[in-house]
Amino acid sequence: MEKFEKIINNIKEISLTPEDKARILGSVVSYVRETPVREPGVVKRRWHILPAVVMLLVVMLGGGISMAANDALPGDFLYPVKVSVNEKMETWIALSAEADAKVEAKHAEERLEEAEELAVRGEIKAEVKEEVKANFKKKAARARALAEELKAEGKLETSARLNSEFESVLVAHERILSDISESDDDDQEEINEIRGEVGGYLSAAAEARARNESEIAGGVSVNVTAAAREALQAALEKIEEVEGYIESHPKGNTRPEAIARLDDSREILLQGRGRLESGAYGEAFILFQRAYRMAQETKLWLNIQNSLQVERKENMEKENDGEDKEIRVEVEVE
Amino acid sequence: MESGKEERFIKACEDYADALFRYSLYKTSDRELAKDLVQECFTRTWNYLAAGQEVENLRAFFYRTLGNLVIDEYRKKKSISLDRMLEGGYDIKTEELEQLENKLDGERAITLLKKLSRPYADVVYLKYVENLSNQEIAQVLGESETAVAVKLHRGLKKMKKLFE
Repeated sequence: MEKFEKIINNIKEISLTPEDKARILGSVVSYVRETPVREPGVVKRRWHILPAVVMLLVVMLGGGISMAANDALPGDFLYPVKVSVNEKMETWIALSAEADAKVEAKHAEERLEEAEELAVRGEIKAEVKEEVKANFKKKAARARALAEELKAEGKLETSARLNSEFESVLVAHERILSDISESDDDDQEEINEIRGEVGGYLSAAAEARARNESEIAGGVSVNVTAAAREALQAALEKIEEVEGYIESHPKGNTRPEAIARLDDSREILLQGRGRLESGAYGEAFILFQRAYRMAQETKLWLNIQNSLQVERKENMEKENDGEDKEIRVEVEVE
Repeated sequence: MESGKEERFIKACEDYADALFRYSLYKTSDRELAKDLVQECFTRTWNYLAAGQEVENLRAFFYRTLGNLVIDEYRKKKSISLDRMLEGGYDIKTEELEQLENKLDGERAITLLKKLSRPYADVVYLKYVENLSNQEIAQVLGESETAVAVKLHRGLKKMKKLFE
């Protein structure tokens, strides 16, 4: 039966390539995160809000008011509906702490987008600035607190990821606010105040992320292997996405810089792979996270740069025409 | 406690991914499809666990789910795999067999194992490649332990004839 044994042994040698295995496990980890085990406790806790949700749905379907409010800016009539009805509802329906933290971070980012839009329009007045600042602070603080809560629950990798994503968003907006402030003498003071606020949360997020990462690198968590694989997968997808994004925006002088930044991100990913192969999962995780952040920042930066170029062009046309056109900056952020 | 369930599941996926891929490749003879089915097997199993169901032997459950997915795939695409060709009377000629033996690697070894008809090959595969117990094989294939033992005995005899 020597041949038989040879056959069996040869079959036993079949295995997935490390890349395929990482890809499969990465998507399993994401899927498991998105599909939590049904916990009776969580559902029960949320039951009391059901009447409120139903009421809000009626409001939404009835008048479409809250839909219209989604585009409102501070100072608009519908802005309070956006902040206190629509956004509150999004927070309510986020069932896990992680989803909750993501929603809060998204809202914090929306406050910054609103500020940028107003600033470019030249409509950022002192009281509006105070409102934006206060709202941003509230949301950013909540996002941070939730990330800390997750960490305390032992979900170190999730906490690190949230901090890292929030950080990349803040970096891009900080950069853009600084750009606007340089080009806008009238509102410089207001914008810089908001910038200061963003800077504070940015360093807090970066610090928290660095702390989490050093704990992960210390290898105290059994989840590190899976987290590293998931981070690799996420970084690969993000780089590919940003590559496509750059391709679809071939014009403009920002492109070479975006390409260079993305190359840096690829370089970091490569280093991470080396670490992964040598079994240093914690270090690999950190490098993959960094590669993800760099790619994400590149996309945000390019996106806003492009929008601002359009905006400035339109502003010049507006000045020439003397028409009172409505000018909007579309800041598409993922 | 629930997050422990998630961790255990991911760990199990990591531990069994290679073996399940091997089984999937053995069944489909198509690497890409084999990978997709493994991923689908993990997703379905997690859906089952997340819905609050308990699984006694996760490893056997994976093989069983994967086996069902392969059957679904055949029904859906009517794809032709060696599995089917062999069942339908396709036979490898002696000289080809010798050639294959000279260049043995994993996938060719699978082709050789499939010289056995499928019911025997499956049992032999699960027993000797994957080292499953007769009880586990019975769970995976949905058969009685006695049936498994009989097929294993006959399968080995046939193997002996083929490869001695």
